Amino acid sequence: MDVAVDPDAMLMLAYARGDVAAFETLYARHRGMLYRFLLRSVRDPHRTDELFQETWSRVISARARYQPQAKFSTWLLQIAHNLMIDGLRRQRPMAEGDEAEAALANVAMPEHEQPDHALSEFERRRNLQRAIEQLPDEQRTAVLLRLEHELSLEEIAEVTGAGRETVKSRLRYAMNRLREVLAE
Amino acid sequence: MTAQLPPQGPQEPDEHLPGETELTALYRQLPQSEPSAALDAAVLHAAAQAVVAGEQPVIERRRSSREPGNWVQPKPVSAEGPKLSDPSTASHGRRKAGARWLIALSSAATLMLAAGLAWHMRVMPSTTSTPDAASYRAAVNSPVEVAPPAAVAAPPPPAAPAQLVTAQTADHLVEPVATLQQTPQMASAKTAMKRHHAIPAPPVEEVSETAAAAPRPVTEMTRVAQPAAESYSSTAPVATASQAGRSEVAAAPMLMPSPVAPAPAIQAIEKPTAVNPSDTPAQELGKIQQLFTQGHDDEARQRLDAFHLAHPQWELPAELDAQLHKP
Repeated sequence: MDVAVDPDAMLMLAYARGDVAAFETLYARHRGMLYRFLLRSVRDPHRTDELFQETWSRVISARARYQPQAKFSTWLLQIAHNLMIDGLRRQRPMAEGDEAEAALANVAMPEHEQPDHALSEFERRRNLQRAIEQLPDEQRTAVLLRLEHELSLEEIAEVTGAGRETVKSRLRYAMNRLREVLAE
Repeated sequence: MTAQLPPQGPQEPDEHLPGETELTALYRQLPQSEPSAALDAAVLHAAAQAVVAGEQPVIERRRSSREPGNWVQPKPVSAEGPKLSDPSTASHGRRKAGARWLIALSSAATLMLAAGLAWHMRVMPSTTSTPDAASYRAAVNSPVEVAPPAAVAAPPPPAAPAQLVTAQTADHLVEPVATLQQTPQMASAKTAMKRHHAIPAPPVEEVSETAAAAPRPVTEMTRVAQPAAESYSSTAPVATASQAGRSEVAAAPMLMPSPVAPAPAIQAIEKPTAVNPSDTPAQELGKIQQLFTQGHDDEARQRLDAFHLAHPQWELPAELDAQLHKP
């Protein structure tokens, strides 16, 4: 994708010039995907809120020196990923097991996915969710960036700071594991 | 056979991994969680505020369940550093509390030290700036004033020996307390005495003439004796003058502790047999013997008694021992 015509980058540049409406549009376009990425990575709603605010705060702080050298979404996810890694280095306890399941299950579901749906679909989603949680951190991040944001290997490599082949290997291992879980 | 290189460059189409399409479809069915309205409002408010203020953004942070305190407003979330709930932050807080405690303790110790020094400095000047010390320094620095030559050369006024003794006795009764404080003055008097011992004592006749002509130091003793001295200076025979000198010599022991500094020096210089605290026991015995020789038996006996009380173990000469046991 040509960075020069990235509409998100244009919005960010407009916000840097003082256009608050541009930021509101930018925020509306990325708020959900950023929140979900963080929630499924750290599996802690409170920590997710903190990281979410912190990520946007970094974006606001860097508005004056923002250079559209990459896609805005890639830059945004890179900030979030770095903050998340910093949090993991501080060894903050993450929600695990039933607590994490409850946290992820409590989020609002679309009406068409409420209890009247087939049990098999529910079980498949639940298994996928558990399988993603049980992945190693690097593989989980790569899978989330791929499935949630549909980033390319290069973009994932840019976000995570790893090589392209490393990302590809991580994705391959992670997806094999997810398919195994779903096939059980 | 060569290994196939992975696609390179951003222009190359990204490859799909096996089973990715199925996983993506199932992933899209997972609950689509969204940030809360409060979170949205906080971020949008921070963005607008940053544009208005042109400064670093401030986001109202909602208190996390793991964070102490309440809403933090304003607090830049982007501020780097440990969070409030970070264990290192808690230990840092304990260190800060400890530092505050140490500061308080050191301040109290400093105050105590300052108070102690102030108390010590308040006590010190009182011991170094007493009037005695000042007079001692003055006496040392100006020995001429303490014992001027004219006063030294002036003989004792030969008048009113009874009045003189009475006044001197009264002074003597008041002075025992002040005797200890006059020690520096006595030392200065001794210094002056040593200086003037080199001067040969004038003969009695010359002393009487000088006493009539030379001005006397204004002391109580001279004030009492001056009218009589003026009346006797021209008419009294030499023997009278020497007799008056004897009567004053008899009163010398009582004059020694006079508060007036020059008096002991004058006494010591005028009468070689006068009491001198700096004399050794042998010298004192010599003076006592001299007094007996000169016929001043009363004074000699008094001083002998005093000497015996002060030095009971001292072996007295036979003649003095006989005088001591004489009723």
